[in-house]
Amino acid sequence: MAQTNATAPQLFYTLYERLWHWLQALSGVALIATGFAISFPATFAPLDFASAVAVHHVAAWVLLINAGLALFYNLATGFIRRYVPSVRDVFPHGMHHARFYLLGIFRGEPHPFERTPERRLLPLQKLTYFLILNVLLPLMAATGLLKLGADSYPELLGWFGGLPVVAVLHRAGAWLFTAFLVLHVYMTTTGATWWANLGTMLTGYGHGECREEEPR
Amino acid sequence: MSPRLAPWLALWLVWPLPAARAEPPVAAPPPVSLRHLGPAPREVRPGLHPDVLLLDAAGEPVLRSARPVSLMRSCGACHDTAFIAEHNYHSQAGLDELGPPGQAASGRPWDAGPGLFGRWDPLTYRWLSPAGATRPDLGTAEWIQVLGARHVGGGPAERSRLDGRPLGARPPAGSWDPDAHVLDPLSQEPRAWDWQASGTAELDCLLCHAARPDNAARIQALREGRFAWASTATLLGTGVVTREGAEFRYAPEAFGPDGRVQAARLGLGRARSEGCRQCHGRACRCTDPVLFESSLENWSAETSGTIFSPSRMRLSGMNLADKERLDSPWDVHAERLLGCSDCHHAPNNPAFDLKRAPGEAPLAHLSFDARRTAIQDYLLRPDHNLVKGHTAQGTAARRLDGTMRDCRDCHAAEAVHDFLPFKRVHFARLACEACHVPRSLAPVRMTTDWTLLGPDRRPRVTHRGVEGPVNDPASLVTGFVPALLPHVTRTGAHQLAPHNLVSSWFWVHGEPPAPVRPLDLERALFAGEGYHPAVLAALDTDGDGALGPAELRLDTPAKAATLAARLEAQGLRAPRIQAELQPYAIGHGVPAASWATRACESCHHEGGRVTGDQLLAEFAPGGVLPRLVGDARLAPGGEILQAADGRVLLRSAALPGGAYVHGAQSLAWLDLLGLLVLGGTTAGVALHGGLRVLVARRRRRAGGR
Repeated sequence: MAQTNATAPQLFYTLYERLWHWLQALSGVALIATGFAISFPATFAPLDFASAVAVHHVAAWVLLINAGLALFYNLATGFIRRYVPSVRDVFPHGMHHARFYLLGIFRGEPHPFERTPERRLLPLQKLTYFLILNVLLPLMAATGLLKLGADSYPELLGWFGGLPVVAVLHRAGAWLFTAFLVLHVYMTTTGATWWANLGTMLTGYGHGECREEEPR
Repeated sequence: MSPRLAPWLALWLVWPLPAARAEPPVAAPPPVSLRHLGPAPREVRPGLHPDVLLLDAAGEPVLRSARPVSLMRSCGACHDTAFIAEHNYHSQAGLDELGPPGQAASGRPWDAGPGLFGRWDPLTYRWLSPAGATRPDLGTAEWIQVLGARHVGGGPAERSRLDGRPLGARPPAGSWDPDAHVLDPLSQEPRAWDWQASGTAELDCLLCHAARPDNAARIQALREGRFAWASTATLLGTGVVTREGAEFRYAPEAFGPDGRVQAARLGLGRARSEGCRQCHGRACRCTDPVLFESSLENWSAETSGTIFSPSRMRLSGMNLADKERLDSPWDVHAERLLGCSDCHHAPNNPAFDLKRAPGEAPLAHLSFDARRTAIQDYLLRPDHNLVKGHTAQGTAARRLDGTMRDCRDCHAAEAVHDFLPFKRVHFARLACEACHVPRSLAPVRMTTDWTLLGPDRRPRVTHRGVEGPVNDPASLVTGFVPALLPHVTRTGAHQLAPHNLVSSWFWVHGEPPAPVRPLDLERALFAGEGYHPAVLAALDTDGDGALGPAELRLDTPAKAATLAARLEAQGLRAPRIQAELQPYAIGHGVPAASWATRACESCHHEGGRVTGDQLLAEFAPGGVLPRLVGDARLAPGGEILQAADGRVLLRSAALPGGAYVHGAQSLAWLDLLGLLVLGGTTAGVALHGGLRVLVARRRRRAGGR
């Protein structure tokens, strides 16, 4: 495995990509927090129900518009291919990648894949994002929009079983999204150092995936 | 100025003048409003109603015959009183909807119909017994005596439920003929009722259309069994008639030379709200300070907290909590000059645009039907099947449900609720009263327990919304937050609407079951003036030889078994306790708009108004839990349960009425699953991270990197 630590830092994320990422992160956290306040108002005192709903709607639109812009950007630049996993990303790369997180990372083995600005997504990352972007995000967006349109297009909501179905799906998706967020944040610590990936997403510059020291 | 331009300029200046002269500006007429009616006249102007010749049932002037006034004959000179009596659910009281016992929508095996005449009510308790009943309670005559106070006359008070003929027109049939028999107060055995002596109780037009009807005198005449004199008694106080002992005497000076009585003396006119309150609730006052009185004669206030008054709450005679801040009228509609008949009008009254003709489909191609009944036709045959709402308790004449204009037929709700997100969803899912009656400030009935009688031989009754005895002026009236229950609307949709929930416990016996008569219950419970020794032995836990309020409760199986044994000793088969839950919709008592709740959390909250448990009773007599009556028009779902502390609660359905209420919905299974996924992820991450730290430290200690 190539050691990239000695090399000069490379630009992994452009300013737009970083802004996009942090805006999505912010709106995602806001959605989870306000969604929690809406679903469990008794246990979430800091925000009253009406404010939670208002913030939730704003954050949802920010996330949706931002996602739409990103889709356009990735389609226009052709970067969309980075997000499409190949069969090899599942097998054998995915298996190797999983083995690394299950065993190799504890044995001090080098990362099995090199991360470059062109191949910034590792196999498991690709698979996860593929599911998030193609299943969970559309599910949340669709159910959220249906709920948002309950006033203007109630019949549309009715076609999908009404709020008792749509809201339950939205809530189920929210739990999965929250779990993904926890996993995502943790996975940022599995870079060369525990803060390396975080630093790359903040500054745009990084060294790839190989570790120079173990996390403390 | 150039001389060549001068003519053109002159033409330009003059040109508009002819037009202006031809069409002078017309000032817009001032908008007409109530303000333009000016102050009320000092004297009440005489109405348009002509003077009335009071006739008896034979058509003779009463001044000459000295017999009871027959309003069917007197009013029938100009109005089609037979039509009015027939098209009148207040008069029919369910007579026209009777069926075989056991088939009523209420689900009670002993009910024969949906109205006051035929539908048993645990609040009044008395049972209109059918022909052939082995232990009959009320015959028709006694029904008039006991329940006629809230019946306007006519219908079942005149005609047989069995054959439609006038009451008393045929001889008694069998040992119990409900049309012909009553229970003798001494022997408690059926005896024939003398219809010839009592006469029948005609539809009493004066009760609603006279200015000052003497309802107390009417009720007294009914209770005395002098049914034919009930209408005459209503005239007491007008100077037309006086009562001396048992005799009614007409006052000749009140009659004109032609034998007529001035309409102004009777105050004849359209039905007033004051007339409605005689049966629907004394707290329905227009001018007096509101005083609460817990009584079944104050029916609507007792059952649903209805106080239809323009008076300010803080000016009431009630000991209201935080009274000084209660600056709203009891009902804002009453304050804005609306009366009962403005909403509950005759369907063919040409002054009103009928929302929907009863039984007719709306004309889809018309947004407004300009056709009107001619005034003379209306006055001849005013349809007294008044338009009505759609409530849990309005069980009679359900064919007319929803004919009344509701809130949104008058109010442009969507124009004034800008603060409310998802307006249409809220309007579709919530009755307006859900937010606009956030709290009812009258004490209301909560439970009626007929399983035991107090020393006064009355049931044990509890109220909600008051701290202390309900009729004690010193008791603090706190009011209550109505339960939001999924009401099935006229269109079949489900709408969360405020209700008061009244639970009742009572004994039934036999199969099919029938309620135990009050006299049987008294015989079982009492011996002479005091309680029967067996009852005393079972209930007198402190051994003082008397039963205090805390002891008057069947809260153990042993106590219930003792009472059951006592009832069996009276010859009742298989006596057992039944309980039922009757919701009362709250549609009146709407305070000022500023009082409407805007707190989303009142509903969007687990334990809030939609999904929170509703207290039904502090305990369940005999351990029996109530069942919802079958004709309450509530969406199925929900559960009545007994908490560990013995209280009886109503727990709403997971999706009350199919409504998903954010923040209020308990999705325990989903949230548990979600928590497992999130918890599993977090635990996995923590374990993974912890192991990484551990391995890294070991490696460092071993000298590695």
